[in-house]
Order: sequence, then C-alpha cells, then structure tokens
Amino acid sequence: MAEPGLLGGRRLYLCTPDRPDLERFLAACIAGGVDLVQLREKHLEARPLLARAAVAAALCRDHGVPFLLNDRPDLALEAEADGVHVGQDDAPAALARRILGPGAIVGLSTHAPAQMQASRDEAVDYVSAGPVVPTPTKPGRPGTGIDYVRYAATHARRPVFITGGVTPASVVDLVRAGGRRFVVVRWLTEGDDPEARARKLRQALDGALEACAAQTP
Amino acid sequence: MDVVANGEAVTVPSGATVADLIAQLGLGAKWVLVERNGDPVARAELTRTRLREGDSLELVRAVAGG
Repeated sequence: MAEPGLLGGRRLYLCTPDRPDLERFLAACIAGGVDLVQLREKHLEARPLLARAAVAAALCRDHGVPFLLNDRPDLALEAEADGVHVGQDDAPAALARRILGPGAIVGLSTHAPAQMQASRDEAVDYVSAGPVVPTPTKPGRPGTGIDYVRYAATHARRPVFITGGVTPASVVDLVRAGGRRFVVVRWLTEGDDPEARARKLRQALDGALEACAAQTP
Repeated sequence: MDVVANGEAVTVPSGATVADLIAQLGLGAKWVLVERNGDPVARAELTRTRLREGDSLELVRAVAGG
C-alpha cells in the first residue's frame, strides 16, 4: 500500500492528456484545488511519453501533489512518478506493484460491481468507479449511471474516485449518492482559466461534503 | 487491530473507538464528516462506536480556502 500521507484525504483528481502548456496547466489546476494528478496520454510512444511524464512529475513534486501515470508502470518508475493508474485491460495491478514497490500508489479502474468486488483482492490503494455518464474520453463505454456510485459508496473497502461528467453542477448529486472523491477531466481540460474552474469545482465539492455532514446529527 | 483510514492502513489498539482513531491521527476538530464502511457516524456516536478489524473509515476534513 502507498506510504502514509500520500493518498490520504485527497479528493479532487485531475486526469489530463498531454498538452503544450502542461506545466502551466497543472500548476493552475493545483492552485485551484486539485490535489492528485494523472497523465493519461494514449497517443505518445514510450520515449516522448516518458519525457512528458518526467516534466509532470517534477512539477507535481514541487507543488506537493502526488503524480500518477496512466497504464505504464515501467515509465512511471523511470519518471519518478508517485504511482500508476491501470485500467481493466492494462498491465495488471500486481505487476504495477511489483515494478513500483510497496510505497507507490496503484489505482485501478472499475466499471461494474463485479470489478469492484474483484478489486478487493488486488494490491491497489484506490479504485475509480465510472464513468457515471458516457464520456468522449472513453469512447464506446456506456455510462454506469448513478446507481454505481451508490454501490461503490457502500461496497468498496478502499477510497473510490468517481469519474464521468464531474462538474460543479453534477458533483452535488454525486456527493449525495455517496461519492466522496472525484476524477475530473473535461471540466478542467476544455475551458479557459483552469485555476478558476478548479476553484469553482473544489468549492462545490467541499460545499456538498459539508452539506452532507450537516445532515449527520 | 488494523483498520483503513482514507485508504491507509492504521493499527489501533483493540477496543479503540472512532474518536480514538481521529485522535491518533491528529486530525483534531478539522474533520467534517466521518463514515464507517460507507455509513455516516453521528458526532455523538464517535466515542461509543468501536472499531472492528478491517473497518474502512472515510474522514472528510474541512478545507481552508482553496
């Protein structure tokens, strides 16, 4: 499992493809409240991907935010990332753990209850659950619907990051359904002023969590 | 006895309560929401709710600013 404090109470997880202004973009998102970062770039060969991952890892380290690379534990090791996120069809989580060692963060995507159950036996630190709604970043994958958020909230025994269409507007209902941690892609990658957008999402998330707490006597 | 707090394994004395865990982690009064295996734990119950081996705790802390 990851070193204490690495994953902790982090709940706003940016997943981004590479972009020309990667460093500036990441710094802006972190300033706005992102507290975990993943680079997910499916269109680069290993060598250029490694270079971009190293850039992102260094920036995140300077800002005290863990950095994970998607899919490639070998490159995550070389880039000195804090961990790796793997999908159901990527390198097995156990292999990622063997490559990166006990102190790294290893995360796994889940899209259905059976995968959530199976993840209990995997050496992973967190799982993602979703996408709640269909998303262009995962073409061909149907949305799980909000019921999977409810399922995850009560059945997961690890931190769960909810993915798919996370915005300041949608996060309120997602928190109400039991979501406590969130992966954000398009809300931050597609707009101007990522810092302002991150801040708006962070405030909506924290507000929704506090509203939830207020309902607990 | 081992429990999981925000995804991290924590060893607590047997018989420890949720309040004991919060104290052990040094979270002070900054937490806003405590859930045990997905169920909220009321504030009044924190000192009465005993942890069990393998419990998973979600501890949401208040975030200052942003």
